[in-house]
Amino acid sequence: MVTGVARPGRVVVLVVGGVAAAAALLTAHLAVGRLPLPPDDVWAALTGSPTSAFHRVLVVDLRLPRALVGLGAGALLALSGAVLQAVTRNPLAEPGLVGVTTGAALGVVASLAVAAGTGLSPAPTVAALLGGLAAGAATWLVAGRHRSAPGRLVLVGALVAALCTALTSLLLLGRRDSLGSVLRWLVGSLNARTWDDWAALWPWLLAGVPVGLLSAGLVNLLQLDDPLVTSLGRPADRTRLLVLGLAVALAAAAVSATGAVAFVGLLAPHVARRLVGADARALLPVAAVLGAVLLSAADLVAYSTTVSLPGAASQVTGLPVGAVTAVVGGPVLLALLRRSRR
Amino acid sequence: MTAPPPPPAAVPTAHGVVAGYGRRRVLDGVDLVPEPGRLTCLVGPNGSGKSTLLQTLGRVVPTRGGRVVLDGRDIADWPGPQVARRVALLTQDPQGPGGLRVRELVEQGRHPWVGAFGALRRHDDEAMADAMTAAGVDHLADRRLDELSGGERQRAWIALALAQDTPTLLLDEPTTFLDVAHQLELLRLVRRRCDERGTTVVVVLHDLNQAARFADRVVALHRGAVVADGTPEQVLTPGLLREVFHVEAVVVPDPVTGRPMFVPTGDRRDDA
Ligand SMILES: Nc1ncnc2c1ncn2[C@@H]1O[C@H](COP(=O)(O)OP(=O)(O)O)[C@@H](O)[C@H]1O
Ligand SMILES: [Mg+2]
Repeated sequence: MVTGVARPGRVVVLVVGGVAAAAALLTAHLAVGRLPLPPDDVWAALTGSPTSAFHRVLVVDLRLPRALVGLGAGALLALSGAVLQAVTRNPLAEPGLVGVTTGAALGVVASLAVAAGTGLSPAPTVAALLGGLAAGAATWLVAGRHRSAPGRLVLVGALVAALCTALTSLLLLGRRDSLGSVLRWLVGSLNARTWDDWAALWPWLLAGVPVGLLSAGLVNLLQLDDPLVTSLGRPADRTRLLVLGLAVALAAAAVSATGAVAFVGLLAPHVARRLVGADARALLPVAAVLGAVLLSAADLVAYSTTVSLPGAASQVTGLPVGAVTAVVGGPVLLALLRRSRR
Repeated sequence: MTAPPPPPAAVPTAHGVVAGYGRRRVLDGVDLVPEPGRLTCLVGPNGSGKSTLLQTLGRVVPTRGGRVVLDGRDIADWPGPQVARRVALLTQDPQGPGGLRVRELVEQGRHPWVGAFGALRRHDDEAMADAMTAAGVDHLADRRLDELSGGERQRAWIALALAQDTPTLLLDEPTTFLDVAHQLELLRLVRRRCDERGTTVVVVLHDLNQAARFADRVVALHRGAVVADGTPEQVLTPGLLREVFHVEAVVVPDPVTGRPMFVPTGDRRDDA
């Protein structure tokens, strides 16, 4: 065999290892928290054995959906980032850089403003999804022709993101009371995720992850420049639009559950590329499991950090996971970039 | 899945082609009918429209007037993958991610045959292996593009075009980044494709002596129009060199092949 993924064994090991790590994190999420539970109690709560109703609520209704949403959103963000990096032919592209995450935050803030004005209250997850999709579409449209020129889409995306941030700030100025509830969309947080959030997320995982992985062939092709893509038989512009739309949808779905979590969509694909190279058939699955593990691990840190906060009152909901990914992800990425500039 | 290879007569031909970018008109009624199974060389000064002409033949740049015809049909009416199974185009300055490995790059040449979701079959493996061997990059298959020298990378791109396994090959300045030995090796490879497989080749070359040596036919472009078209002997004359390239030269027979060979005269040191 000359063809196929280079070192398929490595990809399998990484994916299986990543899934095992994700399972371990899931378990840890159920046991760790302001009230640490021994494994027996977790197991009893999960299996419905006679146990305290409080433990059941804690494990099954509070911790389990949060952990699942974290894993799912992490996978979606990373998959989206990996696809975006290929489509924009820019290794530093990520969902935030094409405006999706800030658009989602703007969507939520705008929906709160609408709710205050009209009495209607659209679900924040729906508002976030629409905001993210709209911002992604705006980026695409404004980039116009030559959108495949490296940097062009990302430049326009940065402008759209800046505009979304500015509008968000403007809307918030008049509604300081809602700042608290909006903050978690701005920073990205998994606090107080419920089964409703998981219910909104899993269809995206079920549909989006397979479609994303199946698109690996197209993603590989789109790493080439437009004349080459065209001469290999694909309409470059339309194909890019299609695959970019997929990436935007995946990111918007993730962000609608978590808010604008920073760096996962950038860091996970970046690390995955170092591990398995640029071939999307290897890169996409490895990035997805890495993203799940990264976000879940960061949330475990966020979640546990609260415990040690001095004087943490019961109202304190915990450090938002977006703060952890930003604080840890930024320096890690800088270090990686420094080392890669040989 | 894979259709039988189309007959070698499926050559894209340009008839009165007008093409350009934005308001700029670059080609102004160009005719080019490459002879099947022959090597046609496009020459002309920078900006004369060689790349644009090659890209209209490959359906990458659309025509604004005239027609490019493939197998009796306007090329614009063909489905993209069908064109890509008949015509391979290697652009002048191809761009791909540095992290991609040579084999992964070459594999993209099978895209027109395999499709977006198909799996590679043994036939595709063979076409790729064949292309990598022919381009001399088989030993580099697992190397990343950004680890290669300019010449090695150029040969990887050529392997991509060869892997498309098309009856027509359009190459835009494929020798640019190669040293002399590799330039000759590449041109011999292209020549062999013509002679042994009946591949139709249109290649843009800057070295007129190489054009004279390897081409069956030379077409000279100047300001978006064909100014000469014929055998190397007919086209590569001191007059053409003066008018099109603004170079004074004498033409002598190549001592090895007997083809025309240029020796510029205007830049002797004692002239300065
Ligand atoms: N993608 C493009 N967009 C705008 N102008 C272009 C583009 N490609 C080529 N041109 C212009 O068209 C003219 C002919 O270019 P080209 O066909 O590349 O010539 P050649 O290959 O003979 O050097 C040049 O003046 C060039 O600036
Ligand atoms: Mg050119």
